[in-house]
Amino acid sequence: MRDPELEEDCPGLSNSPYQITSERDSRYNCIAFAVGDLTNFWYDAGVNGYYWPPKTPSADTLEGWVTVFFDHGYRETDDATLEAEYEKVAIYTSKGIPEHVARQKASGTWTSKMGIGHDIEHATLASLEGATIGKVAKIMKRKCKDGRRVLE
Amino acid sequence: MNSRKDPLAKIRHLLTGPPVDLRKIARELGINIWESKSLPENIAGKLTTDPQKAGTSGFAIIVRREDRLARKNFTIAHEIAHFLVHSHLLADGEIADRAEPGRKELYRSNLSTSMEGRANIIAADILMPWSLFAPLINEGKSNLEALFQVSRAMVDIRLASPVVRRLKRGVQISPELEAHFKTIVEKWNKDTRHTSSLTKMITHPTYTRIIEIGPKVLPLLFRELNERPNHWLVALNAITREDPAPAGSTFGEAMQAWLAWGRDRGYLK
Repeated sequence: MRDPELEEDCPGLSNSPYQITSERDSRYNCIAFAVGDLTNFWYDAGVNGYYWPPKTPSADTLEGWVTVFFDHGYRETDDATLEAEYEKVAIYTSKGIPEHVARQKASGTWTSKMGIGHDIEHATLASLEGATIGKVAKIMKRKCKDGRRVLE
Repeated sequence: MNSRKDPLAKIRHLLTGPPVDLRKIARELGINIWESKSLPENIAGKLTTDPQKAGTSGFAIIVRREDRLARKNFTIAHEIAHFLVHSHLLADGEIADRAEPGRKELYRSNLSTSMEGRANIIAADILMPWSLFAPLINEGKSNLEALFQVSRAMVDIRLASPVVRRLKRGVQISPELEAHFKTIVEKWNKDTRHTSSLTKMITHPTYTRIIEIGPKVLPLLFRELNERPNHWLVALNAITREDPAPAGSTFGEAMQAWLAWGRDRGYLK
């Protein structure tokens, strides 16, 4: 199944394999999904109903997002290729503002929650890049625990 | 975009009953309540920082012992309201509330008229929260007085509220506003459907336009939230200045709290 609206916003998906893996859901966003939380929308909104870890820089900064993943055991790297003993995430920014994060699966493909839309699996990081999501600005990785991935 | 502080945030979970347990609210806020025989007749009550009387918050409420229960309750609720929104103006001293001539349910003090007005409104929301009052609006006035332990005048003021009119007659939405709302929501949905950035969503020109429309957009906003759950909580907070969602709630829980709030006030069937 394809999603024309998603392909309109991320034209790279038109000619790159992807798969929709969930219904649309406004209750969580990409950063929540990337840390394995499907119940919270992670943002420092200033009203109740949102979650942002205490003492973490603003959700509107790359520093804030990097801190979230640092606190989950990830460290910065330049390498987005599959390394069997590591889990990886890729943070996208537009004009310096974080817009999206994708998480690598054991197969080497990537999985993303697309805003308030679907969860998808996509073959490449580049297929999401464009005016809506921006470009990959930071790769982070964490070592698997006892050889096992925390998230799949 | 800054959120607007909900004056009842600290005590919303205590607004149960009826009647609402004012002494429990005061206890949880660290306010001592004293009944005094020595208050002059024209002073209904005080919020004071007198260290001999203050609770752990540094504040105490003093009410006239001779007043009847309904009057004391309003005084306590009114002083709690001052504590919630005006205590920063009272680092060392007191707010003494006099009854307005001819209107014993509305008080005056050394604070401005608008501050007193706000305290009166918050007091009514403490004594007769819409979550408890809305299901009972067709009860007789005597029953409401007894259930909420408030005066007939307070019941009359509550029943004259636009909320009761909405609850009884439903909301009137102009076709022009409905069409305008539909157009701007469609534009917002299209432009933000794949962003994870709440800031991007709530600073989008269409979102700020909805907030600028003000309270008359609330029925449409609640209907939209109910039918197509999306990130309208910031707009609702900005328009209503309330935040009925519990601290620490998930987005789904917060949405349900807002929908209940909207139903209690007649914005949503």
